[in-house]
Amino acid sequence: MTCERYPDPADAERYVSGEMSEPEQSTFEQHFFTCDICFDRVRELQRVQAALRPAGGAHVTQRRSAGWVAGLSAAAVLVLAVGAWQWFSRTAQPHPAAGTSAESSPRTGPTDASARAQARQAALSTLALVTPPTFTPVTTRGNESRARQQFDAAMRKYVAGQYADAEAGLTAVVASAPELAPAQFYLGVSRLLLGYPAEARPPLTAAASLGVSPWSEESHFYLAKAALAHDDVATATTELKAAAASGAGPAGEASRLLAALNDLPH
Amino acid sequence: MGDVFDSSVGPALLARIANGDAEAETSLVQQFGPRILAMVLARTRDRELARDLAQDALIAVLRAARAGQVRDPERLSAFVHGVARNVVSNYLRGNRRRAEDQLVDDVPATVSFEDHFDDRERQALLQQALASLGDADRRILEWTLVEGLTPGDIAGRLGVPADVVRTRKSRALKRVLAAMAGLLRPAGL
Repeated sequence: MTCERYPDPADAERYVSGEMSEPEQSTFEQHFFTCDICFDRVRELQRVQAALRPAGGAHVTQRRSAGWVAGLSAAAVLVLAVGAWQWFSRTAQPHPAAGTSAESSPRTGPTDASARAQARQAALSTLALVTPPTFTPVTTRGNESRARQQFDAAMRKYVAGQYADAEAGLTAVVASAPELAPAQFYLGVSRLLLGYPAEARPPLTAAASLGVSPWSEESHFYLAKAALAHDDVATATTELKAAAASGAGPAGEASRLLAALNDLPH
Repeated sequence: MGDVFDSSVGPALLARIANGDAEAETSLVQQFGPRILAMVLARTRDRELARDLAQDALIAVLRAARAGQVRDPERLSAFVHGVARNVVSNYLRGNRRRAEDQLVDDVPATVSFEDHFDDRERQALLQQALASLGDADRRILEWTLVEGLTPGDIAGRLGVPADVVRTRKSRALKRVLAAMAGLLRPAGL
């Protein structure tokens, strides 16, 4: 069933998230006071909200740590992610001077291991974040193939930040023209940006194997990101080495990520 | 439903309450109690406080209804909303709750909010669904729903466009809500 006045579920999301202005909030509240559909949406979202609230101190600590990174650039976030891991490592060991690495310390207890695992997970999640690579449209004479026209249309969505629409358009393009390397590349990137790293791998792998520069080289960097999203450090390292060797990815980022991965426990 | 409720159900309900009909009071509480709670929770983000303030609002509504003081019975839902909003606003302006001087006996026994949070089976499904999310998506939901950050705030934290945050938040919520409805599909597009 759909509410005729608020057909978009995003309205309830905005309400529960506190994103509405006061007049908008009041109007929506008056509406759901008699609309069962919208009220059910609000109630379900508030259940999710309640379930997300931290139950223990460890979670609160993690959230406070996350608060430090507000307003920083992606590169600074990366530095902080590694720094956070190092801080956790030090505080997790009762006697820092006893060993040089947390995993080699025989005194490390279950709580320490849990804290390290949590810190490692947080660091990996941060390293897996993707900043959209830019796309510069190329002006052509207008006698393009249908696939190329579809690609251009999809990339207009990409440039506008409408990644779901871009993903849908690019999926259609690669179905009819799998040899179009940039379509494979940006399809993979769009899926990464939408939070689907597993689905990002096939088009990125295809782009890498097509051997068309720069998409082939760049794909290695984003395959590394897809691997990081699944905590697959070994694959990420291999892909980052390939990216660093060819200068792929944002300037110096592949090397910085490799260094950050080296600082994680094995 | 809103128009139907306010134009027919509301006035009849108020008339019955003014005549001392306890069942009518129960109906009013069942209709508006959970909604008031949801509204107060959205505005305060404090579950325990929300229960207390929602209770205060319901008491005020019932007292007005018993005394026949609802001026426009055909706009009962707007009246209830206005009362609840005033209760929250007064609290947020620093005024103390006045529940101490109100008799708990004034409230029908059916004033209960357990359904809003305490369905254990639903909670278990919900926890499973949240656990199935990627860490980044879960953090986006936490930042949005718990810390009250806007997509723009989160975009600044993550170094991605705000639209990406909105899309990921919506997709994550969709997955979680589908799981709660027992409709969880395998991860995919």
